[in-house]
Amino acid sequence: MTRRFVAVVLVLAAWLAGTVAGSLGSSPAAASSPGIAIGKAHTAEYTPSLTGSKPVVILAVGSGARPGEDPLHSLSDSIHLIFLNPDQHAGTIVGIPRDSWVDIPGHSSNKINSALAAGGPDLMVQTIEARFGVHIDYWAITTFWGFKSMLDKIGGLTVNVPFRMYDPSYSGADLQAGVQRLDGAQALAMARDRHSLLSGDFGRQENGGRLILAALTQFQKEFNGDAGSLFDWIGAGMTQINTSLTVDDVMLLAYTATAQPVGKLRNIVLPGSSQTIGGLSAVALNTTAVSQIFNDVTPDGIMSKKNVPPSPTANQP
Amino acid sequence: MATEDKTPLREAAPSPGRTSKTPDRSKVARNRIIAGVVIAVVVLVAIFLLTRGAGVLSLTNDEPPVGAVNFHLKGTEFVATQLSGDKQAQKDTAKATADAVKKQLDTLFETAYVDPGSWGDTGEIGDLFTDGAKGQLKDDIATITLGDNAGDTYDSVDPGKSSAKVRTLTDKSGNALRAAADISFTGLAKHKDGTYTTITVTGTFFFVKDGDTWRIEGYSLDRKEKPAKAPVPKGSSSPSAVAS
Repeated sequence: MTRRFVAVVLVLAAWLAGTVAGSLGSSPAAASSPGIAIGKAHTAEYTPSLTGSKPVVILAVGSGARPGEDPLHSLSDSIHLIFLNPDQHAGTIVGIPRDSWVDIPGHSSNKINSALAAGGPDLMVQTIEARFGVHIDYWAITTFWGFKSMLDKIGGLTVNVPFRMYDPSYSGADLQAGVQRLDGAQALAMARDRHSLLSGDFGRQENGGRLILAALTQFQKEFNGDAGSLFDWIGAGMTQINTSLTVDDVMLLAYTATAQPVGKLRNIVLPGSSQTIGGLSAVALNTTAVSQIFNDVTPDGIMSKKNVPPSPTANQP
Repeated sequence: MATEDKTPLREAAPSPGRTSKTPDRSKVARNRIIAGVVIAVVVLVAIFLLTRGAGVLSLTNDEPPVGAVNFHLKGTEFVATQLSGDKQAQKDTAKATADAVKKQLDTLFETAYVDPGSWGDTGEIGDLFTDGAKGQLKDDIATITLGDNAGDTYDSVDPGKSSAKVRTLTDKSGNALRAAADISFTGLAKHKDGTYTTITVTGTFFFVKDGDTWRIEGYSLDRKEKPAKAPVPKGSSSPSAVAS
């Protein structure tokens, strides 16, 4: 009887010890289990975005206001229409020469940049809509100092400067050609410089489009590395831009921009020629070409290759 | 050790006809007592070993206990959308928003990663997301949750150190407009085959306020999993100690 008890105790103890030791002593190296690939990284990304085949059109204006002046009622220095087709993830940036001679509703004909000074953003929008037959959804206006501050806040902008730019007397541009990181002041100089360009303001508007594309490229790169950086961009932008966009609009546009292929955005400038009109040095737009451009781009925001005008800086050394 | 004089049970309840003991009978009784004590000790030790901490084995419950996820707020800041404004109000808003967002994150990861009852069930976490984001959850189930059919692979996930840095977009009055949480979640997963892995989820959640609730409207996440050592038993410490 005693031996049986002892035997039972020993067997029980051995089983328990074996079980416990076996559990505790499991191999530390985990093996793949069915259905799960250990070590395989999973990613998940979702942001709300604009939808629809109808383009979203944003008027982006660089106001020429000096400190102390009202940026919403000053002459505009750069004027761009940005068309985005959400469904096709494509679009067009259309630069409008600031000296373009147009009818300003309720005012006499004048350079297009005077519309902002004469009646603020609303008149600027009205003037462009009337002249080009396009509907503008939103406007956004920044200043020289706002542009500079905005870019400094995001740590500068990496830009492929297409050619040597040297304009010490006016914009202060002194840039070598090539890919480089520009601080706010340098980027502003690139955006403002027209004196060192053979095509003057036409080339300046094209450079404005280049800076927009560079900003989009950098925004996407930073977002992909740290999605939270989106707030840095929005904070930097919204504090320095006057806009009709609400925060919800800005967020939606920013989310949409994260997935907008930069290569599917064309950067063009409306063609025309410098003339003296009404005693002023102004730009007479090429009416035929401009009609073709807006007939093409207005319905879906996308420009056909055949209607793309020549680059105004194509011959810049 | 035990002697005849020290067998009170027998003395207290003597059986009829057994009041007079022979030397052989008392030896047998003593051995039985020793065996009984040994068995009791072994069983008690075994129970202790088998049920301590998160349990190497569970004798009483098939489901491991659910650990609490507790995101540590690493940073709280506001991102102004207007140049002028009440800085203190914006700061206070950022703090309150971060606390609210932290609770949502705790709930999300506890439900999606730690509680076996809701592994792979996007319905359980749906209310934490906006309608738009909710529609995407099924496609991202392997990252947002432990995974579809996770119960076939995992026994348990013990939450480790997790942290979040919360930024809040504010207007000049100090109203919260949006929030973004850069997160890092860590958990020690025990697999059905007894092996362990460390699960890490990093990335960003974007929150929008919906009434009194902050809901997730977007996210960008990475989930990684790598082999881990089994937790080392130390007193009553839990396996989460190595999942950091």
